[in-house]
Amino acid sequence: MTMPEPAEEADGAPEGGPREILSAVNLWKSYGEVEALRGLTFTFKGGVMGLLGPNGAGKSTFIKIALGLLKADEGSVKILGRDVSDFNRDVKGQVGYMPEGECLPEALTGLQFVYHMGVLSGLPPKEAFQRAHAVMEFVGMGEQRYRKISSYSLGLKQRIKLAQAIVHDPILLFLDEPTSGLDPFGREEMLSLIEELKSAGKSIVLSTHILRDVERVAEEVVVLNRGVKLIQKSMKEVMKSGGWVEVTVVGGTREFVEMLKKMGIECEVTGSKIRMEPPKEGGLFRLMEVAEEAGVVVRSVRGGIKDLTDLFSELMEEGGGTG
Amino acid sequence: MRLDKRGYVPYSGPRLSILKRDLTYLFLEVKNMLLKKRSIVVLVFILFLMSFPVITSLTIGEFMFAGMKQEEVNQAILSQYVEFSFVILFLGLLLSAITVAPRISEEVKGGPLPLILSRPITRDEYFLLKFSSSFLYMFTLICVPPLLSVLLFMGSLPPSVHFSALYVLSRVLAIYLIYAFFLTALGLFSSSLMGSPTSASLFTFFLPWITEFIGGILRATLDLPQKYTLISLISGTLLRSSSGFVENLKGSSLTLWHQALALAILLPVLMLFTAYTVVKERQEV
Repeated sequence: MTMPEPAEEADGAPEGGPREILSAVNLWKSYGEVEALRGLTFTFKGGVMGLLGPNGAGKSTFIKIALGLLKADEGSVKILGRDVSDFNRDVKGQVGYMPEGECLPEALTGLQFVYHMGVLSGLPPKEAFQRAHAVMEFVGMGEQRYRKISSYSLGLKQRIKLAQAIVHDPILLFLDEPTSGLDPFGREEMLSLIEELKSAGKSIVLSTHILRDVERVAEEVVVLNRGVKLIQKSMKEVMKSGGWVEVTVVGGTREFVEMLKKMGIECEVTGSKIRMEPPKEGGLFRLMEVAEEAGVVVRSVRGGIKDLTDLFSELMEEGGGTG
Repeated sequence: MRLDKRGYVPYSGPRLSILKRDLTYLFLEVKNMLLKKRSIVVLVFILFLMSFPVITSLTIGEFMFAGMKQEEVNQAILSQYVEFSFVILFLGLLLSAITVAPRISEEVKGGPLPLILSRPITRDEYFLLKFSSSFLYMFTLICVPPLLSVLLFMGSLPPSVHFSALYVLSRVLAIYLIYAFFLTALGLFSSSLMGSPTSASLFTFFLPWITEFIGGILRATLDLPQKYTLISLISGTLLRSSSGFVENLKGSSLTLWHQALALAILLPVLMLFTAYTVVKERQEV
């Protein structure tokens, strides 16, 4: 039996239509009294998925279950159509993992470590050596690769973690807080690398609590809180669903707000400023018509789209979940 | 933004079979062990070499025993065995504490174990690789000095006794095989139970001495004979494994000889089984 080829199709992959790269069904996991995951269910069909949530939301627990490092109390995770609770060499060979915390052997050089991980993933020694050099070039490590890991800065450690995760050319990558602790320059570089991997056709699960990172690279977002899925939406949907408008008016504010409420638009009034979602039909033109009908003079209009920060705050306030 | 931008290149080369992968990784592990604590390993190895005179005495003793009856055994040589066993015990434990004991514990807490286990490798394979590499390493370091000693000694012997010499050599190697097995098992046992590499090293080094001490007290309290009793084997002498085994091998009855042999193998097996269970069942890697 040989180690799996990255391009091989797993037997359990569904035929026709987009293939499910990753799916979780009714996943439960608790550590003693603490419930880390409570019936988590979602599917991921490829691209880049942001796994968002505050600390303790269950993101890392989910990833560890998906990698077979932890056992779920209930439910299942499938990667490429195969249940991860049954050890599967084919599936494991197609997964790369970049963990959040300390995980590097400090006595080795960066190159040695990536080479070892390549061999462990089934690459022949000569190819593993060449491949280690190639991925270290990719992550932008020059001469530093020959230094011991103990001498690395946080930025270099993040790069070496990414290099070992891709040395065997996996299909699916789990990146756990890849930009955590990086300075703006390092963060930008890391996000560029993730974008390049996305362009190379890798499916990436990006677990983070940094919303801007998800906005930048993800096509889909799953928000977790206390082990429960709050939403799963494409980024397009997220951006569409949350526009806002703020109008500054003179005179007849009360009538204007009443009319808007009758139209089903919730308003937030601060003096002469009224902030609201734009009308679903007619948009700004309809808003101007209503203002005219209410007899108010519109002094200024400004607006924008709701970003993930707003969405996240709203969801956290609601605190519920769909599981 | 990146200065040395190079695109991602997919890999389309060959993959190793599982057996070849494991053997390649085993070689890398042994190489790492030798390189990682290079200076300390060299020091301990030199100490082993310094014990050559004692080892030679052992070898001479073995040659003598090969042609002598039980009652003719020189008690002075027997006492040399005891001294020898302590030297080898001390150095062996030191080597195991420094090199084998940290092997699992340093990979668990803040180490690369999650990365390793995220690859196509089972926990069984991981443990087997750790054991095999540690055992190979210990056996090599422990066996080279006596092997050299015996081979050098053989050169000065007439060809007629070469066969006897080979017989003695095989006995010495068998004893050291058990000793390396014991040291590896003890190191991995500590390593799997202890959270920090330092604790694992200290535990490995001091456990046999502590049990020896407790055994001494027990023997004195229960007014048992000092040597060649089962309790002696279990408490301390057994934990010295092959060194105790050498000691008991010469003077004891056949029954006790078998008991010593069985326990010298059984105890490391139990320690390895415990270590394996801990690695297998550990949830938070």
